[in-house]
Amino acid sequence: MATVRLEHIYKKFGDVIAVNDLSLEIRDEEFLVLVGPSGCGKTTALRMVAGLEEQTSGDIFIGDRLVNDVPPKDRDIAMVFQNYALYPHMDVTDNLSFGLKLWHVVRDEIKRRIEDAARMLGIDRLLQRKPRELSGGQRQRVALGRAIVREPKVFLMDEPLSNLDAKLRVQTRADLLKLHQRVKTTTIYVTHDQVEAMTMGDRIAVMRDGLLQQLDTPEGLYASPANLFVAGFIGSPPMNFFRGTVRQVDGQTMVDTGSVRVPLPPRVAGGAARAALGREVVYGIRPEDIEAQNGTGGWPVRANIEVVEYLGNEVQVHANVQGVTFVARLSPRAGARVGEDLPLSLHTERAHVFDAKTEDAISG
Amino acid sequence: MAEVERSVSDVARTTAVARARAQLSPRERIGRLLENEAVFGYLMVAPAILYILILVGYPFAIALWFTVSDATVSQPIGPFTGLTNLKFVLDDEVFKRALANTFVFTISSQLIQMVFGTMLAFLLLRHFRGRRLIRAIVMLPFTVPVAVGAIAWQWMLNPTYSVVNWVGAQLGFFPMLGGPNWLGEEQYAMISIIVVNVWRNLPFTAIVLTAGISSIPQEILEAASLDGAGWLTRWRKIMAPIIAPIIYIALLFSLVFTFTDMTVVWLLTKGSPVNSTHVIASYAFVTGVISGGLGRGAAMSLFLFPVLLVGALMLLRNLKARTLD
Amino acid sequence: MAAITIPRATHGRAFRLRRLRGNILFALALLPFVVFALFPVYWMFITTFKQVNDLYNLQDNPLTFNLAPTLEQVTYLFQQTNYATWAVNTVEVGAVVVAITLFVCIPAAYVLARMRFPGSTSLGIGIFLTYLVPPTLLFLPLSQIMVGLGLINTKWALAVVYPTFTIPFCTWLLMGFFKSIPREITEAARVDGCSRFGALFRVVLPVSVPGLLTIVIFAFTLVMQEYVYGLTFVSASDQKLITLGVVTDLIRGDIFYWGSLMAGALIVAIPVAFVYNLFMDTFVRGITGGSLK
Repeated sequence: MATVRLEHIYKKFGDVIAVNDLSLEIRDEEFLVLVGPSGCGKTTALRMVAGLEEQTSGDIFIGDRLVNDVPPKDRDIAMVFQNYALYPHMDVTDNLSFGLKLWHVVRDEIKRRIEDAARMLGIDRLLQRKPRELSGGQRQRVALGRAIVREPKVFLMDEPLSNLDAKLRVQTRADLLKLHQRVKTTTIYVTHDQVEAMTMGDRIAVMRDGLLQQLDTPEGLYASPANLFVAGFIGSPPMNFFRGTVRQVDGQTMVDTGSVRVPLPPRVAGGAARAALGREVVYGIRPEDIEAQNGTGGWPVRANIEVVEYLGNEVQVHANVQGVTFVARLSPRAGARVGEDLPLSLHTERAHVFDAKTEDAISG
Repeated sequence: MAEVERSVSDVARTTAVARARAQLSPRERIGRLLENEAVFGYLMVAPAILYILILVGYPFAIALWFTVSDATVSQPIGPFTGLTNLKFVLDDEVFKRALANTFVFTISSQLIQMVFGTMLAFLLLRHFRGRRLIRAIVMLPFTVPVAVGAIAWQWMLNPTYSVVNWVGAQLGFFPMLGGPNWLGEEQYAMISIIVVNVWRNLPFTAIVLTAGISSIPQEILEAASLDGAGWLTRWRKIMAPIIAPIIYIALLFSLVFTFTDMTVVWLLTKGSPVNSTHVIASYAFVTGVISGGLGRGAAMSLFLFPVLLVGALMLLRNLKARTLD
Repeated sequence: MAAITIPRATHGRAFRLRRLRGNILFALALLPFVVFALFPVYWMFITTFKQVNDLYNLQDNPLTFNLAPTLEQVTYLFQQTNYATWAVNTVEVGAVVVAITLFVCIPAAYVLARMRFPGSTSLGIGIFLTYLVPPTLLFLPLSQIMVGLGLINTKWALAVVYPTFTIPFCTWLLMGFFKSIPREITEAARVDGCSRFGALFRVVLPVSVPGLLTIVIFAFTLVMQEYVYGLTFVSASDQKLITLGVVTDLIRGDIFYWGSLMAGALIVAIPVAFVYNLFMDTFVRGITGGSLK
């Protein structure tokens, strides 16, 4: 068990900066998710922690130990790869015991650990099989088992679920969480899937173009995204954005898109809003913060419904208010019909405002 | 202020790294060094590079030195003689003949191979019963050691017991026991050498072409024939351009190997009659190894080099292009 | 359940005739190629087993046995010539060449296939290009080097020289094999506790057995069939390898022992041809530097 600390990590591949001044501390027993679109540097960061890639500059600590010069084999970490990377010439038992033998773990201990892990993962009947005789899900479990038996200081996981089909992925996600609650090993988990990140992470580090965008709990990321990118990345369907200018209208600070005016959320409406007067901003509101009007408050608009996607428990509608289009998640009973007008109310108190130039969130 | 802080943390960092290093035993330190990608990489290619430098690079340099010196077997480190060897070689009628022969043999066998190789490739692409067996038979000349094949041909073309002449006589081409002396007369000897070269290399050309053609996605050809392309159009506009890079490589290798080989000539004629069928390689062998004139022999071998260089450069371009994708 | 009879597809007479004609034309086109390729080997075969009186008889059809076949020539080969010695020499030199080739090629191919370090691509291409350098360019200086090493006129000169052929070829062949092994397997091994060396030996090599087998066979068959360097470096009969021995020592002056010559040639040719045929596609891929998929 250990903390992992990255301090001012840079990684260049030729002229490309893959990771740009990344500082990050992963707490003991924490499950930290590194998330971002492909090419954002998340996998490179993980591989540097593993020692498979050497940082151009900066320091990495595992526990209190500076590991910059330490080869992967001496870092006391275990890694789960996207394609599982099982040793094809060894059966499951040998795959699991390979690392332990190299670490000179005594034979009885190896046997005990393999039995424990196999039981925990439900692979005890596959121990004599070769990887090619296993299904994708089984291989994934063996790959996890190979990490678990090592009882390392840190687990590193590089998109371990992305080769599984959708149903198995959801199930394995839950299993992984249960596993982490049991073994409590510090884990760094890389994924491009924000749903995976939100459901699994104790904290989430969002990366883009090699830069850390925000490090926060799932709730924190959702409630107060630090910038436009994070706001758009977290949440599905994504947050609606419109460009507008901050204006004083009838004594109220509003964002004016030209055809539509919406009030600023109260937490922004104070000093920050006054400072933003006349500036161009991006106004963001999540589809779930828009409802059919039912007299419970919110900012009323009349929207023309352009597309209705029926999902059973909800409908997602593409609505148009005087040329401004957005997506809303409504109750199936809201009565949205394509081509018809529908009164909607926007919960502007939960809206977000971003500076159009810097893309950073404006807050009070 | 910020800079001061930074340099303080830099110092702390360097000392931390230094301390971590100092705690390692020498053995561990070597281990660490080997984990470095570049150190490990150079160490691992070193044997290959050394072997090639010592047994290809170094001899090549010596060959260059032989060329400009009067080296003989009894006196390998001869005095510097400048371009005397080259001049001698260029004045040597037999060498000029060998130089011309080398081109004649290489180019004519190459052309014949391309024509018949293409035919054979298309025949082998057809699915028929016993295809594997037929393929193995047709590949025999390439799979049998060159020297063995050449010696078998020498026996077939034997002046007295030539089976080729016997068959020719049965078919009415020659009078019984009156067929040509294949390896004893200049014209016939040259034809024989070309035929044996073709015999040997035809399978290689054919197999490369087969592999190339069968790698063309069937849909493209089908789409083309739906578009109304005839057989010739399909070959010229679709197949040939797609397999061109492969043919190019095959041609290059085949050219270089035929150009530099002496086995066929040596086993069939040893250059006879009267030194009319020598190639550069065989004449260099006679001059350098048998007569012991290292300098002159080396100067002759050196004439192979420009062709090799062009081959190497062309190949290099192709390889670079491919390693980049 | 009642059997459903599917009417057999029947073709018109014209169609069948056309197909038959196509097949005959095809066979006629293929025939010359088959005869051209096969005849010299057939001729070796029939010569091997003919009695001497049959062989040098100009009256009878030379294409068949006119007298009973005999093993006389083969027996002569093994009892009266150094054939057995040449075979043993070939095995010895072959073993050394295979060992050198493996020792040199495995590490080189591994790093060239897997790692990027300054100059790695150029080194790989450089190694491949040496494959183009022909013996005829180097046999003069190399013979002097062999004199210097005291190896001239011994089979060990060949053991030293042959790897210059096998190293470029086998390195590239192995690079192809190594590239097809997922990189993550070696990375997993390194995280699990292997050094870079360890990952190569414990994980990559066990997975590449077919590739290793291919280069072993290539190296060995090359030793079986090489001729030019053998001719240059070795003249003592008891030091010769098999192909060289057959095509030089069974000729005394102008007298050819055609029967035993062909017997010796055939015995070398059959295993080499068989093995080459099995590995044909891999070899052609290796020769062309992987430009064939």
